[in-house]
Amino acid sequence: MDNLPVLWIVLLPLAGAIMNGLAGRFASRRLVAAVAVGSVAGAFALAVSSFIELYRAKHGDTGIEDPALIADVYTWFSIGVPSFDGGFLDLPIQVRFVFDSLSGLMTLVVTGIGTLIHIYSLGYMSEEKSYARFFAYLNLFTASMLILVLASSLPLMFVGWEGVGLCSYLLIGFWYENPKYAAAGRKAFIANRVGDFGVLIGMFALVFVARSFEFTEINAAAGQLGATPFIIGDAQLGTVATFATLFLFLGCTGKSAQIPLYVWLPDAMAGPTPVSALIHAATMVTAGVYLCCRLSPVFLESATTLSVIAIVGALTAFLAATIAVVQKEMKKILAYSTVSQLGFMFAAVGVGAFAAGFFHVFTHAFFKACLFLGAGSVMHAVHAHGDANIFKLGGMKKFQPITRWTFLLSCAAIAGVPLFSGFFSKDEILLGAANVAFNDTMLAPWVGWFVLVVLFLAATMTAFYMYRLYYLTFTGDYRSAEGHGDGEHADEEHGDDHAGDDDHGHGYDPHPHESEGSMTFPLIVLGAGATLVGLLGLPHAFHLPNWWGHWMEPSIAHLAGFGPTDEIPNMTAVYVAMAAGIAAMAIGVGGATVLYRNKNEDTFTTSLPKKLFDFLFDKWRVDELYDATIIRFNKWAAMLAGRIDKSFVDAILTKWPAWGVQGASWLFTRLQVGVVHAYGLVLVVGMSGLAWWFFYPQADVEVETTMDSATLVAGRGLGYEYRFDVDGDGAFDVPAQPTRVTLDLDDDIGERDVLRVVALVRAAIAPEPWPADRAALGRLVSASGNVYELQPPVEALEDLEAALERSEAIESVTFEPIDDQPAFTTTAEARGSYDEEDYLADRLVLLIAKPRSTANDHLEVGVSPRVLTGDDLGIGWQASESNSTPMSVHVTEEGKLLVRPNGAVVQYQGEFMDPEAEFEMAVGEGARFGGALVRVLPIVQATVEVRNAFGNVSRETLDITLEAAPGSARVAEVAR
Amino acid sequence: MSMWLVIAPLLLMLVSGLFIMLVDAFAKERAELALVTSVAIAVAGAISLGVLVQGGAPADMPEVLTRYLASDPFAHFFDVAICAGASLSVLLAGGYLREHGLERGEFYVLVLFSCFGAMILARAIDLLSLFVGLETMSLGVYAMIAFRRTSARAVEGAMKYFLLGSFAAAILLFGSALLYAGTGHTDFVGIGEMIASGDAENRLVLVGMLMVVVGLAFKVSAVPFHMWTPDAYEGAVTPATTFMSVSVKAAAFAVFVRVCMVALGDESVMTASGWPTAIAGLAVLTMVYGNVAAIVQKSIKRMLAYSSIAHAGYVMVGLVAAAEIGAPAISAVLFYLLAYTVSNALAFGSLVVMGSRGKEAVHYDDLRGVGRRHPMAALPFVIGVLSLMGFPPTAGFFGKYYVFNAAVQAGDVWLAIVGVLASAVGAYYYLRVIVVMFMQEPEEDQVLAVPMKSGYVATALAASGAAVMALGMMPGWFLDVAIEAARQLLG
Repeated sequence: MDNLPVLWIVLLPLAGAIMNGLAGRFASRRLVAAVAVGSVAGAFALAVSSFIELYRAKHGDTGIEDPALIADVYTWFSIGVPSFDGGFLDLPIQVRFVFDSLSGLMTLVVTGIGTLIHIYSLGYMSEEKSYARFFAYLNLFTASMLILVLASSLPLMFVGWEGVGLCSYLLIGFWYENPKYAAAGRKAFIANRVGDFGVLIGMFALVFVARSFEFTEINAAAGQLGATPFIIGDAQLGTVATFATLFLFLGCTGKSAQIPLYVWLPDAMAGPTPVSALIHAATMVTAGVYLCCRLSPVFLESATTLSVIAIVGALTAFLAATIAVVQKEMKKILAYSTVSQLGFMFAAVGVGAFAAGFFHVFTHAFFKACLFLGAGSVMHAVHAHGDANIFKLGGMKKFQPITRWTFLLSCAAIAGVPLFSGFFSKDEILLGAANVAFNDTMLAPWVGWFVLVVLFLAATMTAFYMYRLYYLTFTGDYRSAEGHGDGEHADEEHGDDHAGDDDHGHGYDPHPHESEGSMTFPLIVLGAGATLVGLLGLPHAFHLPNWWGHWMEPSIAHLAGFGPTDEIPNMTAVYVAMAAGIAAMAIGVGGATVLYRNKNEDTFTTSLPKKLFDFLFDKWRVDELYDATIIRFNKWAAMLAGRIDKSFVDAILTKWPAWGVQGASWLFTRLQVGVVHAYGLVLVVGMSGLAWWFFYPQADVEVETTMDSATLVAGRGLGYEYRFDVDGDGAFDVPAQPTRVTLDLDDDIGERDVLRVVALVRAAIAPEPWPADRAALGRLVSASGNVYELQPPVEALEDLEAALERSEAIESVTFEPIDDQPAFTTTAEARGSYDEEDYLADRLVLLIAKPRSTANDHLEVGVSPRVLTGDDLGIGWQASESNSTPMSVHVTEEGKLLVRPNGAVVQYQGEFMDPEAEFEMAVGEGARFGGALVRVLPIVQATVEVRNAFGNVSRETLDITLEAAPGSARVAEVAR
Repeated sequence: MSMWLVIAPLLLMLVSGLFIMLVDAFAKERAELALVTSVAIAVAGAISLGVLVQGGAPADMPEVLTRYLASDPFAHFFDVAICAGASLSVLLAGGYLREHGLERGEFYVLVLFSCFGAMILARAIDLLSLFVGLETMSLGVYAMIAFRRTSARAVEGAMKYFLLGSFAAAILLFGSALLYAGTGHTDFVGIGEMIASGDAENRLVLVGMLMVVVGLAFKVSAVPFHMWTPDAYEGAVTPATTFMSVSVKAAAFAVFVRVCMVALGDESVMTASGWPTAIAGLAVLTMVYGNVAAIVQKSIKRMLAYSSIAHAGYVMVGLVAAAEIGAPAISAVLFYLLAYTVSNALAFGSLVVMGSRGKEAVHYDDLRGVGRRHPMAALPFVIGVLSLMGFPPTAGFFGKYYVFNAAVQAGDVWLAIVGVLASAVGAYYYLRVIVVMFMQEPEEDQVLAVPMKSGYVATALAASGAAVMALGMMPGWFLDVAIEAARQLLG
């Protein structure tokens, strides 16, 4: 199914970005604005029509459970992944966009709110010099976010993920002339890079089991991911699902500002306010939650990951809320509020209520965008740049009625006033936590309790600080009017961030006014949304219609039995959650109303103990902690690396060779003395060198081999004469002229003088690879009760059984498979008995000796005895410690191989040899030492002598290893 | 195809040489001799190219022409390279000599006769024609080096080259005599057949081979027979240096390849202690020495002299590979020489254009900041050195690629590795030209060289630049022609 509109949803903003980015600076502002707003609005229109199409497909009788609109664009590239059978699996990575229940809704949010914020920016940024640059970035962001949302696979999503990170960086540092703002951009970028690294690791961990990057296939393989252990070396690091999701969550903590990587988001408010609203509140920062929802089946495979997410989310919600309570600037409060709300969403994900978390993403997008835009509207009105200190505001409701009302509606929503949107979504989250607390789920109940209590506290504070913000800003007296101008100086450094600002902390424009229509229109739409969108997800527990839950049902997994539309097993949880939500709202809003309504000063936070206030005001001093630890360490490491680069790479690796060449160069030019007879001398010396080469012969022997012969071929020089000694006795056997002599191996091996002997080892190959997760095959229990563990991989069962049967030393051996998988099950009853247990051990050890490689290997054996170990033979040789005198071999004077098994099982000419008696093997014969095949090869010597026309002689001697067996022989190796 | 067309290039050289001599004796100062000469040489080259593309000479050539000279595609291919180099050198001379007040007609006559010798050399299939061609070519070059009579350096360079050249010619001649004594033949094919039959007097053949190889290695300036090169190159007027470094070298390599592959093409002198291993040794010495010694030079002309030594090393790598794999390696050699001809002509031409009357650009310091002041004059130099360095997509890249590829296919991987490492060293001094031109500023009190304005030089730069890019962009066509030439050489 190819769906072009879905592709154009992405392409339109991208085209806008390219046009404004390349040509915007030459175009008029109207054209730039038209392109910017038009492209995003167009994308929104397409998104709406696609959504309607999807809605029809879902509710029609197409019979498809979870329909999706798919735009298959092209194959980006292919990679090879090792497959289980040892080969490589070709894994194409598609550029494919999928518009389904989840991504469809998110696309609506991104394009819809994106359009509103683009419109708002027309007014807000109207005095900006780099107008086109701003809109190019904003369009590029929209395009990247849409790629992130609509991508069908992890790599493509990662493109969007990086793209939004880039745009975020560019827009935070939009006013890069101010070094503080530029630093904020860098901070955001670096914190995100840490997380991105996690996403990459998680992605690669998933692909090795799921064999695909596509979300649908990864989700389909969730069960397998949860069952496969993740092994690095010998360490097992949980299951693949746990490992991968933990790293993916690390990525989420970066992008979605959770502990420990949240520190960039408050600083990100340095960017223009519409950016804060769109990127750092409504869309980009929720990408982490979106990713968790996309891969919800995989996350649900790991209780560990879910618990970690729940606890981190709840703690983030709490921490950020405590900070927000004491802050003095509008955007800073809203920023911490965003961090806190993101914490709520992750807490929901952590307790397995993915749909609830995503519902909160949705509602939050409306009310937080509205709040930011409202703050922007206030700042615009008073000409505050960067941020606005609420203690220099107040009474804004007189000047800005529309801003005030929309702001108030959104405050009610975020505080969770019943029937406003935030109430419903927050209630679902608390319900999720309560479900875990009160019911028997895959998660520990204490996690549920912890989340519930911490979120309750956080929600209380949320309601409190939001209404504090509202009252101090919009009620009371306008504190920057004439006469109030020099009110508050305590926090000048926070107040006048912007260097080009003309108010310098001495209060704002004394005559604020309501913002223009392009700014109030989005406020009104968003305010209405903040009020109403919660109705999409009415609590199912009270049998109210929950459209949201039904819509999300096929796309998002959930904790078994606790889906948004499942029957609630425990109404207590419902009541606890509802009560907690309402109580938090009541306490928070009530407290704020009492303390701040129509007040011009903050008696409450200043009444806090000084140390506590400072601690909170300084944001728990987390930045300082990072500075003192990680950042200081990094700076130190960077300095060290710089030194190494200078002194090692640039000096030893670069300069020294350069000096060497330069020195040689200097030396060479000294040879150029400029005297002509010196030149002639050099010429003569060169000619003498060539003469030496031409006048002496070179033997240049090559060996050509066939199945049963080896031919020595001497180099054919001008007028050469040749002599060959092919039996290695020092006398030339073939004195005359041929340039080549053939050794017939079959005939000659016996009579030849054998210099040394080579044991050619060929390890056998195991017929089946052993499942990696099984440590042992089984146990062998001997008659005397000793237990031997069989380590995989072993040779084929037939060998094991046959060997057990032949072995007379074993009286009775019972084989017990370790787990119930019916792999190798056998019981062997043997006939004889033997008094030493150690002997039995050796026997068994040899039986299970396992091949490690299939490569041929040569062991050269001389006249002195050589001990053979498992490593020599390329086989595993377990428990050989019990063997005091290991097996040894050496060459006798007759050129035979003398084998002393010393208790090892050796099979020679079909017979099992007496393990204690030595025996001889002739050249060419084979035997079986444990699991390895061994053959005896002779090494013979041949000499070739050549003489040229000047009578000069040169000779070359070769050691030739003959791989000989009856009927076939070839040269295995030639040494010179 | 007419027999006349096949020998037309040679005749054209002779006739125009005589014509220029006459004209020069009577004509006025401003006669455009350079134009006439370069056109004549270019036409000769074009005729050869036509013959080459048309499939070579007719079979029924009279015996008088085929006894001593070949008319095979191999010879015609070299005609193209030699004529291209000579024609470009003459164009450069047209600008250079006039600018520096050296405009005398005999230069062009010398080029024409020397070029005639070079073409004879590329055609030589007999020891006699080899020697005659070699001496005809060399005599012109000796005189060309000494063209600036008042300059002690020029005369010194010419004298050194002449003395050593005579010495080497004597060695070559003696070697030829021994080969004749050993085999009873002076023609390459006959010598080859005698060696193959085993009836030759082997000791004489060995000594003869040694001396012929030394004589030819001298002409291509292989280390350690290269000592004359830097002095002669530096002393000569730049257009003469250009001619020596491209046309003369190409012709010398032509006969070197022909002698090795035809006269010494038998297995008994190619394996064991035969010539390929010896030449491989010379190639390693040449590549390493040429590149390393070029590094510390202060004069660009001298640097280019060492660079041309190094390039001879790369070509010899191809020759070594030819002993093993034959035609593909020879075609790589042919392509390399063509690419080297146009690249080196471009580099020398750029050096010519950098100076004008009173201040010639010779040293690196003279080029400081030229890239900023005169970007259009610096651009050809950039392309030229990049091509010499072997930077894609220029001609030099494919030249090196084919040669090293041939070495790898022949199993001489180590030779290719040495070559690549040596050319990595070479990148230093080639890139230094660009660094000096674009990243350095002249000293306060430095006399600046001002680029000359000359239609001749501009034409030469445009033509060689276009050729460098054409060979780099579509090397396949030229390589196909070269492969066909190589096949026919081996019969």
